[in-house]
Amino acid sequence: MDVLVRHLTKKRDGAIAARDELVVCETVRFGRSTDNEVELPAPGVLLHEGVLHKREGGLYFEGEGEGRNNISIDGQPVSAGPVRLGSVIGVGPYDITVLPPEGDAEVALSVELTRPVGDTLETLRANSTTRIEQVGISKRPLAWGALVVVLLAFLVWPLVEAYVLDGQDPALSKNPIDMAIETESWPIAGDLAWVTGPVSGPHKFLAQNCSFCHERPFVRVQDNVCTDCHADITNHVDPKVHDLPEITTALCQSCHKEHQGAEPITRNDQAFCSSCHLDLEDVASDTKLLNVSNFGRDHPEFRPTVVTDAVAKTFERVVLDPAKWPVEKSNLVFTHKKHLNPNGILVPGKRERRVMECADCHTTDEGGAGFAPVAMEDHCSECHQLNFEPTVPARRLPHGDVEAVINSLREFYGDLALRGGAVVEDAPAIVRRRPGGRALSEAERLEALDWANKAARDAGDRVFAKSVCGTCHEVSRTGDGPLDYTVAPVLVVDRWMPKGRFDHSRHSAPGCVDCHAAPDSEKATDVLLPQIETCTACHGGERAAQRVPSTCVSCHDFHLDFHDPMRKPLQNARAEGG
Amino acid sequence: MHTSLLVFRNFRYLKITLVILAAAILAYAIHDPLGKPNGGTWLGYTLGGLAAALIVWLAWFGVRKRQYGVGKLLLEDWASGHVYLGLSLLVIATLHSGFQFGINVHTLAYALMVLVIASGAFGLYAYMRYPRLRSVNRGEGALGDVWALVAGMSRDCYEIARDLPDEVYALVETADKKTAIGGSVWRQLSGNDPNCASTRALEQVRALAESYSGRDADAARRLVRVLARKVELLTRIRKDIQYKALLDIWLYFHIPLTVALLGALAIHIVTVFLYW
Repeated sequence: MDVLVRHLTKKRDGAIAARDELVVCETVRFGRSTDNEVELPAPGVLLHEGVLHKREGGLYFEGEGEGRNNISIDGQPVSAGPVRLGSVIGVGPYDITVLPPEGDAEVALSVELTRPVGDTLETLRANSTTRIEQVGISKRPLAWGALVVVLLAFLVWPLVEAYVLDGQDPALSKNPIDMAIETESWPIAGDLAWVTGPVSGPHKFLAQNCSFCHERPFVRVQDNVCTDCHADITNHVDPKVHDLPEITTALCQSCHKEHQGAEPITRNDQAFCSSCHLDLEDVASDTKLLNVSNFGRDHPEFRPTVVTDAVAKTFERVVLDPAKWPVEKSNLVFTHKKHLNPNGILVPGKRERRVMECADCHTTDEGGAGFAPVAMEDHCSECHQLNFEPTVPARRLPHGDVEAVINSLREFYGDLALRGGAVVEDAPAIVRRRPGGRALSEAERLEALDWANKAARDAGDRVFAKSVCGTCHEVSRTGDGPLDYTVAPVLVVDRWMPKGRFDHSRHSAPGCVDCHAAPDSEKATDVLLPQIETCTACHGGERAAQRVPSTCVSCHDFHLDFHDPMRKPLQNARAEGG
Repeated sequence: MHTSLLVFRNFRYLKITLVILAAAILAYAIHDPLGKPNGGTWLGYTLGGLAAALIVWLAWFGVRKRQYGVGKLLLEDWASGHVYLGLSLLVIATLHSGFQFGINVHTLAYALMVLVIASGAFGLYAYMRYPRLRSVNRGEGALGDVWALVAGMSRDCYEIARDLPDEVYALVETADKKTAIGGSVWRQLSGNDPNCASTRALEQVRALAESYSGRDADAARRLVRVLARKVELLTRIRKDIQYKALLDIWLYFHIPLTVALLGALAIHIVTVFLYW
């Protein structure tokens, strides 16, 4: 049969171009390949899609492809079926319409690419995403999002938590002990995100509650926060004597910097002290203190405070000068040398010699840093027994009160004479009589008391001489009468260097006598302190390389406890200034 | 003539930066503050103020680069200064911190700053390296031409496969319709596509072609040649997309992190005085 195939092409301007082709064939085959009567070259068409042939009663289309659902007849997805004039066979993207026969052709068909799959370039472009901004990520929302998260988490929430929620809590206590119990962490306690560094160890119990110290926003921590607890912090100088407001009115935190880590917040740098003490006359022209800048290199010789008059209780600072060593006028009579005799000393009543040690008398105080005072009763009386009557050796005199000693002597011998029974050999018979029995006559009583007075005077002369009191004390007569004696009051300084701090417990490695020349000391007036060389042999200044680095505050305090509390003068000064 | 922003004006901004850094390091070495070095000393405030001013100025580059012919400095001045002064912040802000770091908003600001600088440093590296690699990869043609070439090859494949069996033609169709360039951010950055339809089509057509003979075998051989060339072109395009993505991606960190940094910096400054 002759078939007219009319290829219709849509132009860019919308017009339709037609190209007719006359095909002579038995059947009309449709498909992609060139051996088809009607070639359908667009993508989406099989090699052979189907065939149109004549049957009785008309044309019949029969699909060849299987399972591709590529064929439709008049819109119905079928693989085969009769076609009439006007029928449209859909083959992939093509529509094949049965036209009225024209001219010689028995059958006329129009072929049109009505559903093009698209340009290959367009397809490729449509499939592709080649820029980051095309995948839905945009810098601006990311930036805003990050900003909002940061602001909410680190500004808005902490502010709300600290000033709104906490502020409404009536149970909020300023008691630091209560606060120590509140252990919260960020983000519950939002303002912990603002902490600039760990709170120092001693203040850690406050670390959870910023507002305990930071009372008002944008105002530096005030001193009253510190003095709420540290009320008795004393001044460095007396503001009435030295006009040094940079020291006496400085804010606590100008020296004590918090949030620097776990270590204490006290200053211990040498330069802080030497900034004034290097040229002290510049800041305090009338000071008696000597300049100092470095313990290892530039520290004055020690100047112990010694007793100059134990009666008037006067003291003086005297430099340790070997040519003119200070003298402690304590009114004691004592020699370390005899007591520390390496062969020992005789213990009365025990017939033994005992080798004494420092610690027999010098016992550490409770803290271990210093020493408890030496006491007659505790440290001396085992040997220095205050007995006075050989026939009654157990009887002792009281210590520390001359009048009591004299009274004690008079009472002892008066009692002995009147009661009788004394075993004193040269005593009269009335004194040696058996106790009890008849009452004494007046004459006998006078005789007994006369002996008692004499015995008391003799005992007193013995006791106040070198044998008992005079062993350790300066004894003098106050008159020519019997028992007119007095003992000079004793005054021993507790610490020779009260402005310095020395912890004996931390210096136990050297022996006592390595620093204190006690074994050769023959007088109680000896000041048994070592000179500074003994210390500097081991201790250097702050940056000493081969000695123990020691700063000023290793031995000295800034807040001197003999001054007034630091904040009191400040408040007064403010009141006066206002 | 184009010069690198690093050598711009004979390293003017490098010199300025080195002078600032030397001064900062010297001051830090001499400075003997109360307690440990920290941001609250006079030097701490000075370095912190300098660092904050630098951060704001560096961030302003994002505004300035959109304005043309504004101000006395050229955009190249800004860019060159941006690089050197931005890097100098690593030293200045670290000295400002006194090497004190913690889990707090202050170290957050520092960490964000470091991330911004790190992303910027990558950006600098990208701009120094990838444009050259990109033009080498493109060869003589512009990228648009390469795309057209690929599309043309797809059409060629259709043409060649027209008389080949449907199984081959289906592969050609898939290679045309399913081949994609780029995709997700990761796909763009990776520079390849392990599921590329064209690559798969090439492999399968090659396998199928072994059983063909005669005209089909000739056509299949031609088809494999064209497909192979297409895959090679796709690889080059993907490489190009990768370079472009690498040139762009750091800004997706640099900009949002900068804005977050500005927020954290503002909080840092406010809160250290709020809790003075």
